Amino acid sequence: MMDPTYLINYLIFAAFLTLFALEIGVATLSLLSVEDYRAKLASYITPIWEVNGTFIVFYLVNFEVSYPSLLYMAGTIYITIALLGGLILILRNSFLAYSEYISGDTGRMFLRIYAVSTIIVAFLALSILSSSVSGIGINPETVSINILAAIFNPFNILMFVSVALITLFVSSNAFNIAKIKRYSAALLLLALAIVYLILREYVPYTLSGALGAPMLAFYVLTAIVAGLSLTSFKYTGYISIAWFFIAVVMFGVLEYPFIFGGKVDITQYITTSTMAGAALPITVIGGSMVIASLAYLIYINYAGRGRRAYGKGAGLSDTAGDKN
Amino acid sequence: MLSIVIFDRFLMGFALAVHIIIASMGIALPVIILVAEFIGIRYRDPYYKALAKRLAIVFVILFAVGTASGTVVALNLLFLWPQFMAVVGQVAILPLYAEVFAFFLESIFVGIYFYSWDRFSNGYLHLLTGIPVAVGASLSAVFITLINSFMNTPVGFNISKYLSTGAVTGVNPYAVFSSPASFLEVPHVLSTSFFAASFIFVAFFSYRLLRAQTPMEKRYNKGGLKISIGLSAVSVLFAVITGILSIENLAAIQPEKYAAIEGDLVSMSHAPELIGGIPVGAHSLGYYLSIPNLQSILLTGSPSGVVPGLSSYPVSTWPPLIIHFMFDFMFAVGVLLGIYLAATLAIELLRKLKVRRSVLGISIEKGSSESRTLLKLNILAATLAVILLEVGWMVDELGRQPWIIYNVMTVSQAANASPSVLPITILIVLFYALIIPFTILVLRRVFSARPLDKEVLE
Repeated sequence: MMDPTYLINYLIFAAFLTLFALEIGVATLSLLSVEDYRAKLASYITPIWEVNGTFIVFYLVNFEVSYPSLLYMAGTIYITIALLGGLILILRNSFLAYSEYISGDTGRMFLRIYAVSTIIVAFLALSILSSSVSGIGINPETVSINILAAIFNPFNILMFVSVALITLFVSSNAFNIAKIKRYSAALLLLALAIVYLILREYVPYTLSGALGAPMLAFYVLTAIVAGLSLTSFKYTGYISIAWFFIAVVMFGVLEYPFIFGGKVDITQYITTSTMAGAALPITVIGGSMVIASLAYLIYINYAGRGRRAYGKGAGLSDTAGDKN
Repeated sequence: MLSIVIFDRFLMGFALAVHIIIASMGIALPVIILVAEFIGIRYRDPYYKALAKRLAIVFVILFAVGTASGTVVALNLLFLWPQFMAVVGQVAILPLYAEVFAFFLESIFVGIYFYSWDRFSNGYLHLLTGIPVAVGASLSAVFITLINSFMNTPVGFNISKYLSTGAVTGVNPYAVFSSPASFLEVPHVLSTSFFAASFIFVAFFSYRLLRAQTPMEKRYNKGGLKISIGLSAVSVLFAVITGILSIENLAAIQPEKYAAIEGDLVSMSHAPELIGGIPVGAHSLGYYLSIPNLQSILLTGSPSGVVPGLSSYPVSTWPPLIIHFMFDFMFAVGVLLGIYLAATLAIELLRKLKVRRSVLGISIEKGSSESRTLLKLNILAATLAVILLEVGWMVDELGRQPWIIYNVMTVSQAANASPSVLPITILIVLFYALIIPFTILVLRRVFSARPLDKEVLE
């Protein structure tokens, strides 16, 4: 039985990763010069980039609520990677905001800086995730890390490649980018094959539940989503986003309850029931408020889309809209 | 170990010093924007509408930089002070958790308000979508300050057991919402943030007025100046009242901090108010101005009232005496700025009463926004207001030294001793040094590419 505190924290992580994956997709696709689709990508990213940024803090603080006694270990081990990621996050935020209001070549250059910095942030964040799974380069007993070993190892690099491929799968379906969508099922299967091989090689214990009923259901779902990506079914985008969220959750299920290559049982560090109980009403009230606000945001920006405030000659969609 | 702690403190202090200014602007600016939009709608004034829209661009860019710098502060808290966060996580994390939702409210409604100007046929409905931005920003400040109040007056767990065993027991997660320091610290932080940030916009519009060449530019910038000065005047009142009450409260809840602020080395009755002075050695003052009995009267209402003194506590727990000078500076500048604001408002009042005289070379008939002297003084006053904000935080933080959680955990005990903090400290400082001027340059370019007349006439 999974601890509810772990589950809530992991669901927040999965929601964050899903939103962020879409943004990474936008960043990657914009670097790939998919000019015809830039306006469509921009219309996604413009209203919600700051929500993604806020999600990072949400996950971080929920982690502090959920695992207070793990903070010393996590803080000491990941200080350099995390602070470097935070620094590049400022770059990402700033240049996206700059590109909102500056058009022309400078605006495009700012957008590229945003895209590259988003991918670097993703790489660093994924390095933390990968190393917490594999434990490569980390010694939990001495609470130390060999940063180069933790980042530049086959597990981490291949994990990044597979996540990048999955991100391309999701975003090409979500934004209906035909040029990439036609290959997306192959990209997805390749990515999942890589994930399977590296898990088997480096953290085989995670595969012990790989043939359980929930995972079998997930495989069926994956096959359906891959198949849908080859069709023109209009809801494939939404389904692939939902699939990504479920995939991240399933990864957490396989990993539970260990981190650092099975050396640390995370449930040993979960907060007291008093604090978990006290945090729950805030999660419910705050979460409901966030969901309602997000629904309104989506309604205003997508359902009720009209002319934009500073519309002509400004903003991502207009920078992008040159060819549209 | 010691040098690493110093680096930890420097990095945290630096990140906070930058973030406090950006965050304060993020608290005050939505209010200024909403007031401008309200006036624009209510009186069908295109200048105020344009003002609201242009300031919204400033807000979005500041919000982007501020959100990320806030994330760096959040990362710093976790990674530089893991032992501290371990205690906070077990006892007092709920305000920080609630702050995330306030932050969410703000950021989601930023996405609604700032990208939907023309999607409402009724302007007031658009105005309403901006209110959660302002409320979210202020609530964030409230929740974060509650954590700082907990650091000053820890509550919600069995402290004596923690000190003897290191175990966190007897936790009341909700106690942090009503720690003894919170009742005055929260309104004081909020009002001083509004005060300093609105003064930054007073300086901005004063600068623009000094350079304004067309009547359109003048009218537009005067609108911004009026709103900013109004907000400064209201907030300074609250800042002064809560500041005075905070000092009285401090003597009861953090006597060492109070004694260091007042320069009281020994506890005594008939205590004089010591003003200024020079440090003599590490633990005493000299050459100060002394007003007999005043401190006892101010604190207790009676000349024979007893004030706390540092000698009642171990020297190792004395805060640095420099906070005495910092506090005196803060008080003097705060009073000066209050008088200056009152004088500015008086000029405007006299102008409304149609007084046609000049005072100190300033024509009342023309008003404060036409006087180049006052506009230049506004810029100087804003600089002082920002320094005041920073010094206020330094007095609060230095006054708690050597503790990170008062009487529970020292800064050294809480710090991350990893040497990897050194290169990242240098990198973060360099990065901020580049990104802030660059942001200002971008803002200049954004506005130079958007002629004011076009926006006003739109």
